[in-house]
Amino acid sequence: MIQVDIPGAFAAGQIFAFLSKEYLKNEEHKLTHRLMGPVGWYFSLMYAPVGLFLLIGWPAWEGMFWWKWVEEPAFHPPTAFFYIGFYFAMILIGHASYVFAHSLYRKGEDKTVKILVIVGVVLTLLPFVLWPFTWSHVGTYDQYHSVPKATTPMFSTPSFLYSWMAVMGYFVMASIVFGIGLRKFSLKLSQHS
Amino acid sequence: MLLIDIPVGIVAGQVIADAGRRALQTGNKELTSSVRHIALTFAYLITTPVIIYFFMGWPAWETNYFWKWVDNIKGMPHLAMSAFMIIAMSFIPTMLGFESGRLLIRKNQVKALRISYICMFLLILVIVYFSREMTFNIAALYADYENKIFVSFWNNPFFIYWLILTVFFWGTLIGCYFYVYNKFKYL
Repeated sequence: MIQVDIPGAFAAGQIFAFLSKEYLKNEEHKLTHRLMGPVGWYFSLMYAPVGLFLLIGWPAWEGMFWWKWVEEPAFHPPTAFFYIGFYFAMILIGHASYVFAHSLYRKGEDKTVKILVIVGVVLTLLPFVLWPFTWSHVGTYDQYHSVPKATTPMFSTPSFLYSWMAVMGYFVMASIVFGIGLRKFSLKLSQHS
Repeated sequence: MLLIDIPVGIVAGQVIADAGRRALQTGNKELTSSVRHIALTFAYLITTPVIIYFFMGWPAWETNYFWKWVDNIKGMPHLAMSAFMIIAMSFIPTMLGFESGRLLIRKNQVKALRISYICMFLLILVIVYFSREMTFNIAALYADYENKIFVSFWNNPFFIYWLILTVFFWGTLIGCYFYVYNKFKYL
């Protein structure tokens, strides 16, 4: 969901900075150091494609049924640009968050990064609290807003459920493996420097 | 368009490798990683968004009117996987272009690298020429294509956004070339 994925990118940037803090504390270059490549790989190949997949497949669900126009990108340039904007936002916010945490480490503000990790996670989960059970409806904007709702429950819509589980499984596994790899690589680099 | 996206990605990767040739010639891991990171950034910040735009805005045209399924992606998981395809289509050719360029530079074959990307660029022009019927007759959906409901390539809103994105892409590639070249020219 867009409302979850955007703060999620911020949280991911803070978490990965936290995992690589030993290296970042001794690295003066903010944009061209050895870890920026892997971080770029993560946001562009592991994080953003998942959000884009759900937006392309279930645009109304991905937007928490806020906008109808998001369902019709064909021959609507502003809507097609919105898809790019979403993709950009996930990558740029993730990177900006990582660079921001890096500069905080360079200033010795380690505690602020820990607080921002928690803030990021809370912001990511907040839409589930503010608009509960929106995620459990599968359908179009019109189906969701009709009275009574014409959407189908997530757990009885196999086409959505299985693909959501598959893509989230990929995302979670990729994030864990990446996090462990980044931690090891950053420790190795910090020991060599 | 699908047919030219792969050579375009290869050209971009090879041009960036050429720009960073002084860094790549050293074989230094840190410098190589730095140029590779720029190629990667170019792929996800410049190439991918352009492909996403055309695939979402004019899906049938972007896929050269090859497939009907592009009209009905919503709610179809296996078709929504095209999100991953779009990203792969921009990343893999750009990184292939970069790595092939890096290998040629390491073997002191800079001239061969330049011939390679010039040939790729000419190939793009040849593809556009031979697919001109598809290229210059725009139907957003396959159904429109089947019913011969076309607008001209020069009509808006298609043309203006095509122009903006084309200038954006090639302009950024030229800018990227000079940025990388200047960054490593004193090595």
